[in-house]
Amino acid sequence: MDFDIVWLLVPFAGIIVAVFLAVRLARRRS
Amino acid sequence: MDGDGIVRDYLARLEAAAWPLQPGRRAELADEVGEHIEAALVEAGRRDVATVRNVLERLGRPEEIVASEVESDAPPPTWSGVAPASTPRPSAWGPLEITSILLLTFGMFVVPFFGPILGLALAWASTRWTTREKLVATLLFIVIFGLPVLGLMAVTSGGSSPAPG
Repeated sequence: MDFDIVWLLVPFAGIIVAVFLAVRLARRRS
Repeated sequence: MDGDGIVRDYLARLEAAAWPLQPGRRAELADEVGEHIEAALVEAGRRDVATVRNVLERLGRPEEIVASEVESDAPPPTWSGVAPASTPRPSAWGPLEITSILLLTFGMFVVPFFGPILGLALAWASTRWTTREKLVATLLFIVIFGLPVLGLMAVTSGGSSPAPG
């Protein structure tokens, strides 16, 4: 199995989740 | 009906609409709205029907005032349009939230592989996101990260099996 994809997917998933959480928090504040 | 009659009618409608409120709060709200109307009329310098209607229109319908009062936990009425200075809204961003977002985005470069997972764990520790949001975030992470890895494993194991014949 090519483990390089794991190293790519973890930050990608992290960024998507971070954007989701940040948007939710920002919306609540406004 | 003269201007004072319209005000009396408006306040009566307000009291009738305010049934969901506590009796004390109901009387307090009627007093506050009454004072507000009086102040607006004094400021206008006239009490004719047009001026009174204009003031009441700016206040909104009694039902709307009561609805916003029921929704709001803040003691001062929301119809005044002025947020109470004594209760500032706390910032949505705390150190935990900022660290969580930073770890989710750049964590991979700080703690390889586990950085974003640590960020997700910190998000769970925060109280500023709802449980539903945390669940969605976790599911999002699992779907984006987990499913392709599982698919890759399936393809890899399928490809390594000997071909029939």
